[in-house]
Amino acid sequence: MLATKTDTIAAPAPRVRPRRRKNDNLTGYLFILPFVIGFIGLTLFPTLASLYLSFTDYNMLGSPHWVGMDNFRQMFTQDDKYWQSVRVTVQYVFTAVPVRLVCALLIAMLLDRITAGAGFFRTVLYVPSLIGGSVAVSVMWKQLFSDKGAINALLTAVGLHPLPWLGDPHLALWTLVLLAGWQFGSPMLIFLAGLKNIPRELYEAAGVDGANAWQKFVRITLPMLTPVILFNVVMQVIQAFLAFTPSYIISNGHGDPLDGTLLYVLYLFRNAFEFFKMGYASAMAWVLLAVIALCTALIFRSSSYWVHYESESE
Amino acid sequence: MRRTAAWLLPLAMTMLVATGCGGAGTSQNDAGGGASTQGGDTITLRFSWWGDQTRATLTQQVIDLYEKLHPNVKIQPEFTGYSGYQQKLTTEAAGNNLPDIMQMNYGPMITQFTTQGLLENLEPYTDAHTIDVTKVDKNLVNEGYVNGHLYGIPIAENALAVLYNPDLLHKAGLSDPKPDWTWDDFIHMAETVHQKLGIYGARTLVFNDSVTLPEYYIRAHGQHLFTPDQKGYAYEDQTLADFWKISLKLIQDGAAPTIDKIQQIQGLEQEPIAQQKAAFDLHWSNQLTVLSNNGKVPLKLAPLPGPGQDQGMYLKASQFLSISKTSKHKEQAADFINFFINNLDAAKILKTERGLPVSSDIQEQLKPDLSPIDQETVDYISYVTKHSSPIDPDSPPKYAQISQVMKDVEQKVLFGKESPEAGAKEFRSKTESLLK
Repeated sequence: MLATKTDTIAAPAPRVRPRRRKNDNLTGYLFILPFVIGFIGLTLFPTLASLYLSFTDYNMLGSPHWVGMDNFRQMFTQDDKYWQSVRVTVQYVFTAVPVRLVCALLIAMLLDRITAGAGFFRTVLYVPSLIGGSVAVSVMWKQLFSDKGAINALLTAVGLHPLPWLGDPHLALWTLVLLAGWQFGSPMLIFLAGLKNIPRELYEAAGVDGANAWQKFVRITLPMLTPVILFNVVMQVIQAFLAFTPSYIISNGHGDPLDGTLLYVLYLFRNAFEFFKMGYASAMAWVLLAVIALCTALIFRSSSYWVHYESESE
Repeated sequence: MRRTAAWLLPLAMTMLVATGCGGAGTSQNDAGGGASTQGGDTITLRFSWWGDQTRATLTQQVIDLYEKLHPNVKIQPEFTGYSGYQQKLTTEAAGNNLPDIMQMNYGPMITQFTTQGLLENLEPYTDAHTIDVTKVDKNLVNEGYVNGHLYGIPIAENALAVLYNPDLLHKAGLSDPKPDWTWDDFIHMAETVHQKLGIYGARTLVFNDSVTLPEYYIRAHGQHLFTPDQKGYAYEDQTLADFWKISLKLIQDGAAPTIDKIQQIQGLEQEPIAQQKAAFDLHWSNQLTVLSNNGKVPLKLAPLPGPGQDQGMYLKASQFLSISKTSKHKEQAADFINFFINNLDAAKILKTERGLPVSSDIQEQLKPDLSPIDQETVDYISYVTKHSSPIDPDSPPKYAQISQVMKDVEQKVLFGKESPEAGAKEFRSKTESLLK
């Protein structure tokens, strides 16, 4: 490689062009090489391996035995806990995604108005999302909502009863939803970009026609944002299905209490690394993949009814 | 042109670094492998255990001591908390990369690793006295046998215990529990403390491994959890239900925290007993150090309530050390294990943090160095030694799942969603197929 480099430098100008192109290609390939190796070794191979394992009873220590559809049959017909995890996950997706998106949109609209220190606020508000998936934040969340934590202290201070946030099977999931809502950073930035793209004349024209703020929001902002909303919904739904860290940390790794926070991926993880049912866990992963693909497809299908693209309207 | 060069250079360097890393990695392995064949300079042993920071600090001191005495040996420590430990080892086993020496737990953990042929039979090393177990109680050594061979050397011993706070009991007008006390005494004392002092009497009887406490109760009633072949149950549903009723009674009377309060305890320092907000707790005896905050909270140990203590109580090897079959330095690893259990200086560092040292010589020689808490542990273990029965072989391969179902049912019962009797029935019907 070093030799090629000196060649290029020493070569007279007219001969450089074809060579440089060749070099450019080589450089390009070299640059993507780490990704290609990573993709094949860390994504493609494990994915195919897990497809194979989902039809086996692999326990990590022994060698896998082919069991056909047994894992899937057990999952759908015999495993109460599996269905509990499905219920919890559906509930989580249907609450966490709207909560996060509404937070993101509201904050984005506020930021859109602010001119002084906009960069500062944007950064500060994005921080929770950067660290939100981390263990540290989950630990902090657990402290906040613990029996004698800050939230209960606050409730007591304003004369309300403290709540067993993490101890009650029905409440515990809501703490996870709130945590998800708080990490609105990335959809917020995307909304903000979308808001900046809406032509100001539309608002001015509406103002001249006597529209109030709510009418402007419903008639202009929302329709103009629908492509961005579609993107955010798809990304957030996928993310919500894959949520793991918060429920792992906050539920003591078990989905406590009474499996109230047993998200799908957490149960998958427990099967794999606690009960050493790797085959079963792989089968669960493939069902999850199928469900996510189906949901994404449905959302895209539905988009023709509610997403408004500027080019079509003309 | 300049640009190309500017881009290529870092790339080349990255490649160099990357290959350099790989090179270093392999050469290190070579050094490890080569040493034994050539009898050469440095031997590297990997030593893996579970435990908290206190244990890590103490263990590191023992490692330092051993390295000082054996300048040609380097010991690489690896530790995690208990919850992730088996996952880590299993992953390493799947990658054929087990550490040379690893801490093992009684029951399913050691059974699983043994049946997969991952551990070394240590009988040759004990026969040759490379690992000297002559001063270790025979019953304890027997716990390290799986399918007739020795796969783990017990390094410390433990027993279930009631931790109690004598100051709180006295304040409530009670005296220390007698060794032959009963569950009725336990409930009565807990409720008296609750009524007189306005704190919890006892902590609810739930354990991390949800099988442990019910199993004691079942044993104390002359039954066993599993049949000897581990393929069925050998207890009556009513016995299990009766055990849960103790907790339910305490919870209903306010003398023990409700299960949602228990769920929110984060770490041992928040345990009611550690905060002097309960007079009783059930735990492994080696938790005395942590739960008493190193002696700052006045705690003592008593046997679990009876009747039937002598049948119910048992001594347990709190941990084993095992050697992996793939280790390239088994002789050296065995020597380290021997050092761990038979060296007085090592014992002076470890004291009773992992449990009571197993060698009777060491126990004797350690006496002058023991703090009051350590002394309490020694006295307690020697009491239990005389008042206990051998441990049950809890090693059905799907123990982890069985234990999980027990936990689920226990939660349902203690949350009041199911009667104890219905819970006992549910546990049996859900897990019987896991035993077959």
